[in-house]
Amino acid sequence: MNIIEISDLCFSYEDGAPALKNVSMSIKRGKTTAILGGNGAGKSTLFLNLNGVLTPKSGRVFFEGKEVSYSKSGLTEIRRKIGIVFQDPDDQLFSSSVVKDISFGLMKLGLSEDEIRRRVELVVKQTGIESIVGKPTHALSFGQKKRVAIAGILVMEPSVIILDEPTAGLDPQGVSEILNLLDEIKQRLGITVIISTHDIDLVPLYCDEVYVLDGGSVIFGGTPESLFSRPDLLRAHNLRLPRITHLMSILRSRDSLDLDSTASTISQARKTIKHLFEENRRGGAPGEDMRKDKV
Amino acid sequence: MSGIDKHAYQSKISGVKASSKLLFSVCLMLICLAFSSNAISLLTIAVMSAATLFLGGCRPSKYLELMLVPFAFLITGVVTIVINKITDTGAALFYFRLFGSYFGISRQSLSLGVNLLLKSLGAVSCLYFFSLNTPMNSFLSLLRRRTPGVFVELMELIYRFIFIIWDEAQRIRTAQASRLGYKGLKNSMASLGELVTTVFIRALRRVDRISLALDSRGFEGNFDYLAEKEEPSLLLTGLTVLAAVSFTAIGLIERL
Repeated sequence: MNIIEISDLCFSYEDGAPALKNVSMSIKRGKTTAILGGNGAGKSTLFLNLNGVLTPKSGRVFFEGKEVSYSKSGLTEIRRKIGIVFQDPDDQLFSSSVVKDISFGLMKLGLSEDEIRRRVELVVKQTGIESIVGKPTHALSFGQKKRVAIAGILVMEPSVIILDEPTAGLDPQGVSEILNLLDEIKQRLGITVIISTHDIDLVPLYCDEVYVLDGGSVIFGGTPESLFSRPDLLRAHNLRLPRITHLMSILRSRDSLDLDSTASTISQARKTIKHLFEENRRGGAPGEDMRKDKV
Repeated sequence: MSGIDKHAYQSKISGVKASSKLLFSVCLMLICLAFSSNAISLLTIAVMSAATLFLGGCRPSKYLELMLVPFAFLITGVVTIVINKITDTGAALFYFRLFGSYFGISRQSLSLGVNLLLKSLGAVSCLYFFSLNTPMNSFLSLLRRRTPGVFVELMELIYRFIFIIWDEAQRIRTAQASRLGYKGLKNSMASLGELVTTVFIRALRRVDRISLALDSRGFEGNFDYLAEKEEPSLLLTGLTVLAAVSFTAIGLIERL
């Protein structure tokens, strides 16, 4: 059930300040988990620990039930199975050719050239970058580079794909394109997705599980609904409610409308508003009767 | 993306094997240089320009513009060869007196100058054919097969990061200029210094991030990857043979 299990993970950088303090998490297989937290909360550090680029000072990480070994062969395995897409694609794409960059990780797996070519072509289709494979990397837009970066990770056929701020720097269209692509990857390929983000509004839309990190410690773990029912906790850690949940809870508390205040997406909000109207119509008179104290 | 780099990626024959393009241009360049004849040089210019314009699909106006770049250097170079100190003013086509001696153009120096000019343009047109039609990536793949890996890897990384660092420098410059950083010479000097320092520091920081990203992708010290597929071009190979043979024949006949 849980593909990654982290228990009491601690990590500190060379300057000695602890970056992660006793982090424990369970990442569910085939789900999208969001890691929320402000800048410097330890999200990126956590990711680098998961894929073995940084070695935890203490604590253990289990991947598919087995403890991760930080030996050379263990690292090769874990880096293949857990791929990270970095925030700035220019940090990740080191080649000026799209195909070369995508094939980079594959060359180490001892596959035949035909197999490599087949996998690259497949992943190019999956990520929808057919039209740009011939272009040099520096001629691509930010969103296109992001897709190529995702393709370079996906081609390794990982079990888990981690994305550090996948939506940062993208326009609204780009954001929904990338997130829909991730949804597709999760559904079609069964890959577990972990994303870090500041964008609370996308959490209820795309994420199944959510963890809140602050100052290197886990503050919260659970479903988005249970997180959004605790606005005080969010505020205490420099986060906020999704706009829609915020609106619903104001309508409920200040205007006494009988709305579901955990509604966090447009469709949920629409449902609860429609429901209120229908209740009201059945009840008779419009207007004042929508108030919950009179219903 | 800018200049020649852009044209190379847009060329109609950018997907053709880099080796056949290299063979075509180097072969004809060697013949052009070896015969050193005006006719062969003119032929080379004509064939290469036609190949770049029709096979590669380069815009004529752009091609002319690019050809004019070396032309400026060539003219200054040729002028100094054409105009010489003259002893026999009777044989000179044109002369003038300066500091008590005669300087001018003789028949020989003129023909030498024209020969040099045409030969250089011939060689330049060969180089332009290669560089306007061969994307850097495809050229690097070609090099990879023949040169020690570490050199090509360095070239590949440099080629990639030129654009990243250039973009960064450009953004810093804009930010400085928008706060009047380049108003007056003194300001400009100070801003430029800041820019260079900042770019350097950022490049160093980027190195850290890149090495993290490479590590997490399983980097083990060498950049192996799949070479892009390139198609052979019968047309180009045919053209190479045809041009090489006929140019050599014409050159030899001319010598007789």
